[in-house]
Amino acid sequence: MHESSLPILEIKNLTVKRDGVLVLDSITFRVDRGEYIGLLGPNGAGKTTLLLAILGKIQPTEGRVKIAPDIRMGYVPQKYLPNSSFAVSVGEIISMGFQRSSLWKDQGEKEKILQVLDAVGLEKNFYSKNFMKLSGGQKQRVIIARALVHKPNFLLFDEPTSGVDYKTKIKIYDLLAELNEKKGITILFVSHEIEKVVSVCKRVLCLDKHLHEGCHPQYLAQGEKEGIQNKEKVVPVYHKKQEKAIHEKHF
Amino acid sequence: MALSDIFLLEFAQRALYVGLLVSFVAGILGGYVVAGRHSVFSDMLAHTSLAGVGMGIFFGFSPTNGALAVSFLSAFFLWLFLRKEKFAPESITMVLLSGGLAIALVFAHLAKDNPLSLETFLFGSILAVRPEEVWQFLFVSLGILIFILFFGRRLETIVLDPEYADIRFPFSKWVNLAFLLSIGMFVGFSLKIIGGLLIGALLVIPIVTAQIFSRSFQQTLFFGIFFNMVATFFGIIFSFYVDVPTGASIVLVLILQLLIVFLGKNIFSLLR
Repeated sequence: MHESSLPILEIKNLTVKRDGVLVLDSITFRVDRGEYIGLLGPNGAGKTTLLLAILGKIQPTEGRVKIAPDIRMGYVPQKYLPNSSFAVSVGEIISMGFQRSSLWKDQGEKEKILQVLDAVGLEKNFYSKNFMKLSGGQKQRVIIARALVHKPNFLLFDEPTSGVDYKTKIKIYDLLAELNEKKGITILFVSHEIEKVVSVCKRVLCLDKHLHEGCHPQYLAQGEKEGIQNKEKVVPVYHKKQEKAIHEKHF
Repeated sequence: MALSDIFLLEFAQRALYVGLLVSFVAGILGGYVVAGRHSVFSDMLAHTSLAGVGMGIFFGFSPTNGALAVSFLSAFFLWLFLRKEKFAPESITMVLLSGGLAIALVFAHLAKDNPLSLETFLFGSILAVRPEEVWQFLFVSLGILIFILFFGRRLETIVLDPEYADIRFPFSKWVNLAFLLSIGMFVGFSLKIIGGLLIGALLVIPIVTAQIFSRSFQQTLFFGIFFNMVATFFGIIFSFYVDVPTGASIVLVLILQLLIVFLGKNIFSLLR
């Protein structure tokens, strides 16, 4: 079989226990090339644990994670440079994405950094700006650029829960969609923003220890185990819920 | 005494050489120390290593070797406890600091008749540095510089974004251990030169000064080293002519630099 027809990622019966507590229970799914998958789930559903298992940082208690040999993974973490106020330039942040650990620079390193800055919609002059002085949205773009600089073909994006306003979030979603469509990067997008994930991603998975394809955790929480089977149904129902919440709040 | 006398006396020359070397290495290490919020750790290492000095004085082996051994062990335990993530970093630091100081005081008390005093290692005596100590420190500095040269970029990621470094690069934890041991080695060797109470100042204050106006990590390192070397040079000269403790004199120049840069930056911002 040709390499390009193999799935990028294949997870079979993945079970993870941490300190004796079951976090992931018999997860099975596969990701094909070019997919843009949204992974939804409430807090504590095991989303980050699943990402860490894919990244090989957590050993499964049972089951296995198989990654195609030609895959280069890019990772955008939920938290970046926590609590730091230390001056560090955008160029320095992005160069963290290179494999090299010494202070010597590879030839053309700056060019590569300018290219990814352009890919995430930031001007060249951002290269020497202090990362700490940027807005939340600009910071997130720089962190995406850091993940892109070693040319990954599979991007794992753990959405930050704070620091970015709604308008900026939409721009980031659009940027990811563009990377998926124009550059063919496969994306696994972890979030709890039900509405956007459902409308942007081509495929939606939901997690609450178990994995459910095409449904979402709000319904699981209500005991509707059947869930919603496709995104066309999820969006209107979700809108109704929002309208009801707004009505109750204001009237 | 004329100003040029300091450049003629051999011990004063030696103090200047070793002082500039210590401040150069401290400037580099300090950048990573402050960026990684390890300022308190470095101070803890400086204090716990006094336990090794106390034991050295009491049992009759070299206090510098004792300081080095304890500093190394403390750095290792610190790394080990931090990896467990069960305790808050500052709590671990306090436990090691108090324990180290207690041991140092016990042994210093038991060996109170010995002419070597704990005080020398608390405050340092840069003007009394022996030639072999200069060579020892030169050797240690080279080791630290080679480590930074080969792993500097990785270390920058580790101190600024540890979670990302841990996920992205498989050997991050070992680079971090080597970094903490480097601080341990630096502290152990420079204890007699600048003193346990002042090591933290050389690692932290110039970097804080550089941070006031820097826009990048590289800039901070560059100016941190510059401020450190200038302060050490003038600190030693000042202490030589005014007869005040050298360490204190260096720290006062460092503080003066911090105040000037801070005020200068604010006045510049107001005028702009």
